[in-house]
Amino acid sequence: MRLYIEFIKNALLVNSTYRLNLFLRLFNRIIGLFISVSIWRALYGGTSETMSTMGSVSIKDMIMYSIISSAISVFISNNVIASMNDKIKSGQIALDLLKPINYKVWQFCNVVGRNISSVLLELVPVLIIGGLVFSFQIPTVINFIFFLIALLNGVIINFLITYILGILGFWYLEVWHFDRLLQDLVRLFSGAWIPLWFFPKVLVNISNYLPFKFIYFAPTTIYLSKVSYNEALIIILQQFIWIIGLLLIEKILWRKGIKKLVIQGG
Amino acid sequence: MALIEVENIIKTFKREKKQPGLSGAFKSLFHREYETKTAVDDISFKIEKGEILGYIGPNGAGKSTTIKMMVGILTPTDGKVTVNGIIPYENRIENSKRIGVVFGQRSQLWWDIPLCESFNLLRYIYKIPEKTYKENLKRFAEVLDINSFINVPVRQLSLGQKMRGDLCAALLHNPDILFLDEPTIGLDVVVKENIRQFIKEINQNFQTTVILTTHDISDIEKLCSRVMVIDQGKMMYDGNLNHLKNSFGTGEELVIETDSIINRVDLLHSMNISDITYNKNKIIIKYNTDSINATQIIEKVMQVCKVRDFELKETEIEEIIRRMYKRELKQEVAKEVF
Repeated sequence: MRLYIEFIKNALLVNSTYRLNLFLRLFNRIIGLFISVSIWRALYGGTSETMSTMGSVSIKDMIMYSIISSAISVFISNNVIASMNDKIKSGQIALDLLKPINYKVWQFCNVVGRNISSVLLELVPVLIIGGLVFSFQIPTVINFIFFLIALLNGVIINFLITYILGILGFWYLEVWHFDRLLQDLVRLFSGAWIPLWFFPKVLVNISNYLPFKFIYFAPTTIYLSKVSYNEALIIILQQFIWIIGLLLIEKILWRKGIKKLVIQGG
Repeated sequence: MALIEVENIIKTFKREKKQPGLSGAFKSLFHREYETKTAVDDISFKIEKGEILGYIGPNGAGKSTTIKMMVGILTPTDGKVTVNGIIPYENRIENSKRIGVVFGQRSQLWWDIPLCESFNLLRYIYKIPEKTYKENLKRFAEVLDINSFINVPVRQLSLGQKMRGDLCAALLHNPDILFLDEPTIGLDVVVKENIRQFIKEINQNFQTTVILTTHDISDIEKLCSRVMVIDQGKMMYDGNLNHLKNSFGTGEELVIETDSIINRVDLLHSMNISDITYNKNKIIIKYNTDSINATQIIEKVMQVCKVRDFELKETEIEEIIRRMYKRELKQEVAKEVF
């Protein structure tokens, strides 16, 4: 356990090394939030409510949706694919594999460490500015607890997806375009930009078979109390099923990939 | 049972055959041809506890590939490796607890954080008891002279400093076996000497088995009692260093440049010299360091003419291997004749 705390501490240290990078990330978040709120305001065009597949959605809901969504994005952006890709291509992964620790857990610790540094330097400012400029909706305690569980699960699901794509680098040295593809899929199907409420039936059906909506859409709807407690529990259960499924895929791929692995250079 | 047992390992890689030019690149989008390259071809050996083994061979001979299989990050295509009674590539984590590895061309230190933080992390990764950690760090830091830069982020360290840091990092958990893949590459003479001294001490004090690959023959001379030579994936020689030298020569080559054009220096021909070539005002002399040294030769030449310049070339590993081939060929030819 101590090891993982040390890893998280280390990731924190590394993340705070590049100050400019941190400021740019913060700037990026805030601009992103304002753009998305402005777009929704324009789309609503002065009306305060609009109909969707899930009943009426008010502009207030949408602004809150944007704030929560950009808060979640703080936890979702990770560099697992890029860093694994770099290490595989340069052969540096050899040294990571020579450590007596589980590689996946190690990578996850890095993500957690990065997330903790983001909470202080990105999330808090986004929430403060969001709260000051726009009105803030506070959920019930139970909803908030459900939200936190769903959020954590979403972070794990997102991590596992990126980690699996990272493992594909054992076969295809170049996997950054998977990263790109994944980002687009997440953007579309997770509800990061547009809630699934406004999706046509076809896209909703497709998204039901994909894990992406559990990353953004599920936690956000729970926060906004758009689902009942029972529905929230079902969502969390589905998340667990996805996590188990992804873990299995990861295990199989890792076992095959590690035999395939060619340490590049020297 | 020996500490490390390697039985008939083979490692082949599948490599894409690159077609030249733009049309080739376009073709390869649809149809790819692969060729198999054998990096390690049926090698077997045993290493006992406490040995310092030099593992040499030209570039691309398969040294690193063998090491990677012994440390468990590469699975052999065929054959078996046992280290400490376990199969490294099947129990990577178990194996890695008991070995230390230094790759001369890569660093295992964390790039963005100070050296001491890297050590601290390793302490938890290897679950080193606090007392051992402190003792080891104090001792290694002293011998390797690390203290002056222990608080500097690794990315700001020089090559030699990084290498010393890496050596320290690889030894903090008292490994049974230390794998060093070209640990002195790119280092200056003083640092090289320090590192050699350090490796020797570790070996003597902790009975650590050391496996060392290098291109620098003096690394081998100063450290290793046993040498393995590998070329094109095949084991060429496994035995002690002296025997290798005696068989294939501790030859040196001396090139003397004289003031005037020399046709023949009679004095030299009475000496124990294997080969002399005259080329205008240059004399190229090949000899065995066991029977004669450069000073004696130059002395003789100076009696006859003025020496403007001279150059001394030690036999390199490549040269030894070339000679090994020659001898093998000769033997084969001999067989055919008789």
